[in-house]
Amino acid sequence: MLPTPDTSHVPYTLVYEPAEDSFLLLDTLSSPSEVSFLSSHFSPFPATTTTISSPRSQPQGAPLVLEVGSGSGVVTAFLTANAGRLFGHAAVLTLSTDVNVFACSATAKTTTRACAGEGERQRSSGTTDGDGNETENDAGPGAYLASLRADLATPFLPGSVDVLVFNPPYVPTPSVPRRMEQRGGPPPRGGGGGGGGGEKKPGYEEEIYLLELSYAGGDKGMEVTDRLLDSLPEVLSPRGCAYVLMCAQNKPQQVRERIRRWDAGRDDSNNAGNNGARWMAETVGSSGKKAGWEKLEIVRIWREFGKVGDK
Amino acid sequence: MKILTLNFLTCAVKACKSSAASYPLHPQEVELAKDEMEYNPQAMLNFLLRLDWAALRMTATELGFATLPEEMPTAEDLQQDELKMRQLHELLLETHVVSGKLVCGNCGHEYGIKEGIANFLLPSHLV
Repeated sequence: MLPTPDTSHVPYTLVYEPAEDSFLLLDTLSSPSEVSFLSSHFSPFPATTTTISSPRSQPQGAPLVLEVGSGSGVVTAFLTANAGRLFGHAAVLTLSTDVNVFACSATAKTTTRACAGEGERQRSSGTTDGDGNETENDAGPGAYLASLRADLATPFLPGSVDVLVFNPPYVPTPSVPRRMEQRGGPPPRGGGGGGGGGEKKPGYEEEIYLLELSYAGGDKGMEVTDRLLDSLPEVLSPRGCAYVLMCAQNKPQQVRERIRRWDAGRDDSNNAGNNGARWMAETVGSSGKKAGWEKLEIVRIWREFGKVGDK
Repeated sequence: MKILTLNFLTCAVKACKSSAASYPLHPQEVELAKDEMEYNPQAMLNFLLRLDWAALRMTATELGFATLPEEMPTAEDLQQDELKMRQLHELLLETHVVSGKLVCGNCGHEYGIKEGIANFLLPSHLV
């Protein structure tokens, strides 16, 4: 078991508190099958080879990991602090986005703290860990680049994201909350063209709004997730994958079937289609709580190359 | 926000994505700070392989750092030039943008940065 990052500093009246869904993501991303997938899919550039092809058409080297809607930052902090163990090497770049500026601050703090703690453990244990089988370079934390205030992955360069993780607002609700400034209320802090900081104490109405943003998924709980899924062919690199959490009411079976019917040939922005690529979607983690109203699962979405005709 | 971040960002306006002028975003009126981070040569090499050198070069120049060579050094060169690697480490991973703005070269939209957090939420008329 890898340590769960400390989020005790996070103001839970303004930012979603880590819960069963967050912990399912941590367990899934650190499960043997996903560690094996991530470390084989994103192996580091070998120190002895010297050929460098254009990084934009076919990224190589360090994977870029983006968590969308990072909330408290528990997942981003976990991925960054444990990069060496999850990917088999510490050459991992991480970023996070959230629309809630308090979540952006919380994520930055949670991640910085978790990495400092991990770095400390690495140094005190010398070049090998307790099991004596990891070198310092392999096991260290990755590099956390930025906490961005953004809608989903909208500011990212097409074809740039290698691993996208999303714990969406998935609860079915009559609608998703409209932005504060669109309903006549006072604009949220730093709204419009302003910056991300400047945290004054928010009013009760804004607290309710921020809470709704974290869970209200609209129709079938899929309004926000569908927008994210639609952006995947553009934002993911050819080797990229996404981990998306869903609950039973999201009809994950239908979603997986729909993704498998996506035409990988249409993603001409990164030439993925020229290689017999096809889209894959598999459940790689689940909370198995069938009797409860909320059975959760995590779907991994990625392109597979050169296997047309295989079943 | 570390400088390396700028290598992966573009304008959030959908219509700008297809325009070469929207990448990289142009930093303006920025306040920078330095935060030390452990230097790991093997990881640094992998970070460099991941980035767009021409865009990094433009960003470094606009921020007033020493001009980078036109061509990205080869992995071999870098492995033999620890000083160069450490300079790039300092620029890309230790230097942070604390405040300022990022401007799209296509539509001119300005994204504010406060307390290290850039705001990419668009006003409703641009969504």
